Amino acid sequence: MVGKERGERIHHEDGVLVQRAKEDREAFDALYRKYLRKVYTYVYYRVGSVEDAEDITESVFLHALIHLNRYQDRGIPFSAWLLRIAHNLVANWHRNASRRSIVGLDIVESLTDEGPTPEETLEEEEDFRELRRELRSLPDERQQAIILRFAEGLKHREIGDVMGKSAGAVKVLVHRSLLSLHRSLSEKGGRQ
Amino acid sequence: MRKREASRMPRREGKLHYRDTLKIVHSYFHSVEPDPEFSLRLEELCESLGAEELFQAEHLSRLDGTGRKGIIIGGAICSALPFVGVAAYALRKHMLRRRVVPMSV
Repeated sequence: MVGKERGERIHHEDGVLVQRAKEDREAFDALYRKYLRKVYTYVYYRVGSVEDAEDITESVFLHALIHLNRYQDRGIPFSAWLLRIAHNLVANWHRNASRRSIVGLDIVESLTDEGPTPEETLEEEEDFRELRRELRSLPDERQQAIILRFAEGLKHREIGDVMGKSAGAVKVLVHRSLLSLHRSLSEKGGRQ
Repeated sequence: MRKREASRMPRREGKLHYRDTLKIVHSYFHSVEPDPEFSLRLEELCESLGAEELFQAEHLSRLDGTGRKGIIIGGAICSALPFVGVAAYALRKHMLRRRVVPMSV
């Protein structure tokens, strides 16, 4: 219940910010600062390289800025609208076959941990590499659901707003995606 | 950026359970901070001249769109005029043919 109230408060705040940004474009800055990290994280996990994530994130915000007047608050939060733009631009990016060969996620690779021993780190890297590979082989919709759920930490209802689905449908989609990942990882683990 | 929870990572000693997969997924995903230089550049682009130009471009494109719409509607009306003429002619002929002419016995 508290989460729902918080969501409604954020929705209301965003509505005020969007209205202000429509009248005074400098007010867009507040929306930008609020959602840059969210959009970047989503795009980064979808494309897997810093350069492309930066390019697409830039396009998302410029696109949002240009079409801000088209955004009507009809129950869909501004963050969901932004993530929809991001999803469409990522889909365009994936359609460009020449770019598909790029495999990155360099930030994840270069993380420095304090806790684990080198052996543990190696095992983790292996797990992550496999996960990354399996994630890429999932259908677009499942990748989107998993990233929104685990990287963005969105609730099923919020993911539904982005994907245009009901909370129940998203719940099923996330569960099936996880099962599919689990099956693939188990098969890989069994073969080793 | 969230630290990896390495100590909680499942190990490959036995069968990989569903909850292990869930743990891997949870450890793998985290919020990613963009490069501060990039953030600043994009912020400047949004708030300064870039935004101004984009707003102007949108305004112009909207004007262009209105003009284009007018041309399309005008063109459609002009193209339809001959057909309207033919239809009117055919209708007139049809009406004339159907007129009842009283005949003397």
